Amino acid sequence: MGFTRRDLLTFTGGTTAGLLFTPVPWGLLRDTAVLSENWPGIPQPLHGEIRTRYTTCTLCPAGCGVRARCDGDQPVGLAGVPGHPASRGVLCPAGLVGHHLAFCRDRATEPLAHGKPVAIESAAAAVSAAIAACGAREAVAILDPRPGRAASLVYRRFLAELPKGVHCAPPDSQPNGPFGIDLENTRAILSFGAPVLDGWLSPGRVLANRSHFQLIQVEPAYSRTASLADLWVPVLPGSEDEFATAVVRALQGETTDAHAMDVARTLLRNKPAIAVGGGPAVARLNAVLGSIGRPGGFLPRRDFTPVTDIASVPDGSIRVLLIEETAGGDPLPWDLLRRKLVPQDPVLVALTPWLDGCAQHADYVIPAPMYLESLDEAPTPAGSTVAGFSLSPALLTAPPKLAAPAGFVLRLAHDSATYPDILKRRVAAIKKGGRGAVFTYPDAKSTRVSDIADLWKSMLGGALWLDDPLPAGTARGADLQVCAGPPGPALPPNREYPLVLIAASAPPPHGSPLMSKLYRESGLRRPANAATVHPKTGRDQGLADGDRAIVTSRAATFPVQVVFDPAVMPGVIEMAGQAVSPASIRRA
Amino acid sequence: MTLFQKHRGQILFLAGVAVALAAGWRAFPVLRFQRVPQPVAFSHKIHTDKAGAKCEDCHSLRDDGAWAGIPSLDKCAGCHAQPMGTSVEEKRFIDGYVTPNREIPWQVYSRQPENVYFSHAAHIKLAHLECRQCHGAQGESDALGPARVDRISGYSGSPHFQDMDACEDCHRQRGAANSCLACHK
Amino acid sequence: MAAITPKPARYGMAIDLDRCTGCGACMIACAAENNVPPARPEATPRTGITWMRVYQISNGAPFPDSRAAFVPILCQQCGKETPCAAVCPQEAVETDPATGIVDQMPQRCLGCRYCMAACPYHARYFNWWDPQWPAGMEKTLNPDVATRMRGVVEKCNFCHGRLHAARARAAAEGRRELHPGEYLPACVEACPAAAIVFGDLDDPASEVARLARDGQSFRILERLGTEPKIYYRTTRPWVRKAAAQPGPASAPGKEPVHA
Repeated sequence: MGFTRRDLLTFTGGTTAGLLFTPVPWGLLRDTAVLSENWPGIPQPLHGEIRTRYTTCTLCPAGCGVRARCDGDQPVGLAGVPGHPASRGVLCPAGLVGHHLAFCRDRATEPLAHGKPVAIESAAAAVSAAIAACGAREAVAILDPRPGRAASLVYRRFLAELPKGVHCAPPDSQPNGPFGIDLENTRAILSFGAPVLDGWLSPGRVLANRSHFQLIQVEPAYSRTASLADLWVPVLPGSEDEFATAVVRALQGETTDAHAMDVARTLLRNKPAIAVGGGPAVARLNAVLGSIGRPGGFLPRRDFTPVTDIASVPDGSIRVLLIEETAGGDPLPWDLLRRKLVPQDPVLVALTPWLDGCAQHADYVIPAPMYLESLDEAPTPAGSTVAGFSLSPALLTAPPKLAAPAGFVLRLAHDSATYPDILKRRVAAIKKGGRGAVFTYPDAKSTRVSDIADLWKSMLGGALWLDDPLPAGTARGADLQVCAGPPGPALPPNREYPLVLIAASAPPPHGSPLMSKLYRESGLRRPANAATVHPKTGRDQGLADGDRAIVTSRAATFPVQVVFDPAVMPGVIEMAGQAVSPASIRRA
Repeated sequence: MTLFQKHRGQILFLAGVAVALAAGWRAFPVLRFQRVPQPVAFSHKIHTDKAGAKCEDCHSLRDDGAWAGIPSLDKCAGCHAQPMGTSVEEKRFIDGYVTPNREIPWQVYSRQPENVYFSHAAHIKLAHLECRQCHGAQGESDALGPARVDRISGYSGSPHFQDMDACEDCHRQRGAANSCLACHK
Repeated sequence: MAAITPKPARYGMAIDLDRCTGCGACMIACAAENNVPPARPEATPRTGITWMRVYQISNGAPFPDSRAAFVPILCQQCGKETPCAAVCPQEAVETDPATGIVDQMPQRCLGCRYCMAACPYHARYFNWWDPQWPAGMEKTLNPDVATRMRGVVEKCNFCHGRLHAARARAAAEGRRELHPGEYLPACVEACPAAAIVFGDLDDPASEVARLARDGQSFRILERLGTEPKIYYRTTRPWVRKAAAQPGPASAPGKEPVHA
């Protein structure tokens, strides 16, 4: 009487039936369900104490206040600071996720000399040697992306000690010179290509005042500002100045150009009006509009130091060029910079948090701290009618081996001060000056500088100092400097290059990975390789919507994806970040 | 033929059922959970009796309504920087955690998956529940028992915290919120 | 026994399309607040996850008279015969009677995507891949929101994590009721143009209730009878007409127009 297989099966049948009357199946089901719902591979948040800390955003010149919700010491969410005079409680999409930048790939993490890691002391010694070896006619230049900071003073002092030191800035770094814009009282803005609704001055301030002014956008591209403006004047590429002159004539009753008269009528009906962006003709326009030094127009600030535009530095004159790049990654005009370097063995030093910007071309890379990783400063908010200053205290711990750009230059100058020391001196100077008021972020209160005992401590807790305004009538019309507008096409379109390539707004070179929501996971922004044309223009060139194509200009060739948009000017190709030039397009 | 041979099938079947019932009701609840001891033999009783501590001294609500939970090492080191008694356990604790400034890896009896949201503030300040109603007489115990951790899912096996039943029952009785996202994230 | 929950609210929004500049701050703030992962390399506008999504619509005029408007679309929190709740085989969707919010439980979802087909606003998104963040960036995750895994549907829930935090703060002060403005979803707080107003539609004193009732507001696809709680406002007739079309028509070449 052995146990047969049938016995085993009967017994197993019994256990199975019996198990149904026990907690086993339901328990196992529940446990595996809970396990599968909480899959171990999915990242989990930290759980520390929630704190609020304050800092100032330095990703662009707007200088918005930042309120950071921190889990322990780690920021997990950023928001604006209510009541902030410049930002009005607002942060732009980049600012909202600025705390992600520290985790981006392409970060420079250690000093490099010709691509090899070195100690910071060796890099500094090598750069000092290169500077000392400069000939009598060879310049040492520092390209400063945000002139007007305490760091800029460090650069100027260092360069002043050298036989030929040049402190310069990229083109368009000081668009309105010493003038801020009285947005609160403006009633019409005539913009020549300025991205008024798309990241201009402090966006929060512009949008808070949007309902008060008429917006006329003069530019060839169908930008977001153009698509939302009260009036879009699509002038041919390169003819912005011509149009500005036409408007001046219309204001003086001397022309019959319909567009110009339209614009002039709007400006006359909505006073005070200002003109922004564009070239030299815009200065004349502002003089005619009477917008210099008057409410609703351009009001001058104290303490403005003009900086040399690098475009005006003689070609082939710079032996050693130190380039500071911001965490926000404003793109640099490479062709222009290259022309300014001496043809033989120039030395390029990149002071940058990124490996893929100017560091690619540099002999020496000095890794700068990323936004939020180390104490920094934000100078006068863009467009402010009074001078300003705020600190950007660190919210993250910087990895080792980084060096703040101003700190590196102090090292080159054999100055024992650190960058925080420089910032302390700046704050001490503000306290000594006794002017202005400090808006503290945590309580949204404004206190006169003279009433604050420890200004450094106040500023470290998150604050914006704003100077007192200059007395009325200080400005003169001739003082308004305007940037050079975009250059016209090198050659007019011809048979070889029948179309004109114009710039559409470019996706920022660096940003949080979440920016994919705008660029890839929705159609809200066009990708960087999109070439947008009017459907008729596209069909004339033998293309269909969505085709892969090649755009050729005299300078370069780009693979693109064609996008048809009937809103775009016929005869142009809109592409991100390209200079205006004749071009052609054909199917790939 | 013996009885067994005559009803061989049925007997084996019933034997199977019996084994299953025994295993399912006796063995499974025990085997299902791993008993993980606490790293330090902390005695609530000693601290309430001798040190006069109350629950809130170590387990409290922050201003924003978040629960501070199990106190961090600073709380203990505040008194135990030097040995306060003569026990071997205390010495082991000071050498192992206070001196090297290492946070104690306490086992959480009520460990829940990430998607569970529980507000101590609502239950203490609004529902006026006492700690012992959910956590048992933990505050009067002399020793911390081991934590029951489900071997498959890794979460709490304590009767009260094993699943939603206890929470749902009380909510239903008291007419409190019963929608999903009231207690889930 | 008397209910111990506060007076039920019916949360809704009023979005001013004349103020929206299409900057996308709401989309980014939403993704950051709710631990939405960044796109995989293979992601497209159809497979990405954008609980809040801004569409561009055009007045249909050719160059040079084209003008754009931007329409933020999020879960419309349908109040009547909620389509997604009606079709879910798992009962993973329910309307919370205390807040009017249509709750989506990703942990209950089995990923059949029936709700995605049922939603007339295409406001539901599927996790085609496991969420992945660049190394170290998991530290920036919001502790008030659970992460999801692949295979489940998710959507806007009016930043429920913030509602929990606001209630906890109120409870710590012994309060059951929330003050207006104490609880705001991330998109509302982030909008640089202050285009989104949020509040209790049933509270006669609230701004959003006033805006919803004043005759200038409209809702998208109102004729379907789902009683959405998101009201849109504009003074431009062409925007009102375009938004009433089946699906906001995008500029050509950007993404498919939903029928």
